[in-house]
Amino acid sequence: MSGLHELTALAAAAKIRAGEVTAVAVAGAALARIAAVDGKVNAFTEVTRARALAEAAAIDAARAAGQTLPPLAGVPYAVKNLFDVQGLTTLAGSKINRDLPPAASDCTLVAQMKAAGAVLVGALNMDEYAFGFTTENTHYGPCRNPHDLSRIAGGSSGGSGAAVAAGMVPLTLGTDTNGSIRVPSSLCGIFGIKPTYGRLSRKGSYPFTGSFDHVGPFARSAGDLAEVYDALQCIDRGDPAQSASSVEPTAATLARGIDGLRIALAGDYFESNATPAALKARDIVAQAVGASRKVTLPQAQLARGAAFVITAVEGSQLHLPDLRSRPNDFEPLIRDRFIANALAPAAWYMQAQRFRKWFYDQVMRVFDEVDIILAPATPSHATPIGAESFDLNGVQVPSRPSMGLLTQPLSFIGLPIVAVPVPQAGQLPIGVQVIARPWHEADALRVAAWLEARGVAQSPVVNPV
Amino acid sequence: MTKEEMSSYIVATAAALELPIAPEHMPGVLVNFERLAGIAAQVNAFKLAPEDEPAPVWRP
Repeated sequence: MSGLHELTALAAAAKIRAGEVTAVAVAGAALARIAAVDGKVNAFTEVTRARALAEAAAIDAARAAGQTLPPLAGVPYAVKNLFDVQGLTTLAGSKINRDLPPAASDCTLVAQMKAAGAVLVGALNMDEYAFGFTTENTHYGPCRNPHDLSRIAGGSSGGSGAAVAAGMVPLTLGTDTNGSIRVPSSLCGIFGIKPTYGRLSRKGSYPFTGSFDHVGPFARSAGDLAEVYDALQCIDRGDPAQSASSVEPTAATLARGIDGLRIALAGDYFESNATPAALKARDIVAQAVGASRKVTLPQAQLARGAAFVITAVEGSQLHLPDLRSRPNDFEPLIRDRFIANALAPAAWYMQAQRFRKWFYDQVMRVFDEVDIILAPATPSHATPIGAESFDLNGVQVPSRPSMGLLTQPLSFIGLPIVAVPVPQAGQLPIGVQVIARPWHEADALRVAAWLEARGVAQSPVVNPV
Repeated sequence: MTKEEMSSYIVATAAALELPIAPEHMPGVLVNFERLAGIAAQVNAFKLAPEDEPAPVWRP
């Protein structure tokens, strides 16, 4: 059957449940699509064909036996290669980790996906150790943007964004420390959610910066995103930072629309660090929802700076033994940064951590008056692979750290955010961040679904060119 | 911090951490440390009160 790879996750699951197609056929279509287009995109570092066909066959057998199928039964998905997958070495985008033994078991999120009936088809390309916004990975090759193969897919979860955009799978999982879900979502034109810090379990995912490492899913529809986000929720004491006290499903809330939500635009920093094209995307959303009020997140520039410092210290300390003994095995594009970061004084780090709480308190005051804040997800559209800088309103800024300028201040304090794709004719994608107060993922997902229902947010499958 | 002070700091701190820096890596380390120091300086200049504590996650 042709076109199976273009189905949303929910549509694929419905067809399998209805007996219109088998899970094995849907998995086969995903594997065929990967074989057809990933040579161009380079989203996958491993295809788990045998596991995919076995999991799909188990779904078909369960249906044949008359069992009630779970919500994502037979839906293909793939994961950033920093998630533990039983039998695979958890590369985290590195050469160094090839020396590690294969993971003995699945991480918590993969176990949750399996319980929901989803079918794992592979592991995905990323920036080494999640340190980057471009997925220009020297060890495994750059991940290419399906909208323009000469450009970056974003990062660090670049493979997760590109695989969904190109229709290789309807769902992927990634991580977001400073923007690594929202940046690829923006540049690849898909939906992604970075939940509240502490919502989803990170157990069995390779860490980067514990203070604000988040995990979350990508999809081509808001309904799919809510469904997979719901499936990923569980209470897991295995993640010391997980503070969610209950599972709070969101999918049933999407039909409520945006009634009652006070929506505003982030001004100042979130405008001065955005190109006209990025602001246009935000304004399309603002016009659709009737939002005109602007709010200021005080000292957002310092919030970005403090996130930068904390990331530098935590991210490099984690790798200090390897930086000492085998520096030449690190990604050449980031090795010198890792070494420099390892030398930062403790006082810088503590000031940044203390500032974090101050900034959080200020932003919570803004949320006393609004429920949702809109901001562009990236300063610009995707830059060419290899570009050292890009033009940001007349200033050349370094490409690799700057693509996260608009995401970093927000993950810094753990806010839940949905990145929504806002197509503009003749333009490469730029997404918009729909930012909610902590633990209110449902509000952001409601806005995303409302925008999608009106055609403002869309994510059609892209044929890589 | 002047550039000379920064170079001295890098060498001394790398020694304290037992982190050898190959000569070919030093120019890139300097550039990146300078960028980090510039960003940190802005954050460090922000006046915080003693009660502005960090918010660690620690649940024994």
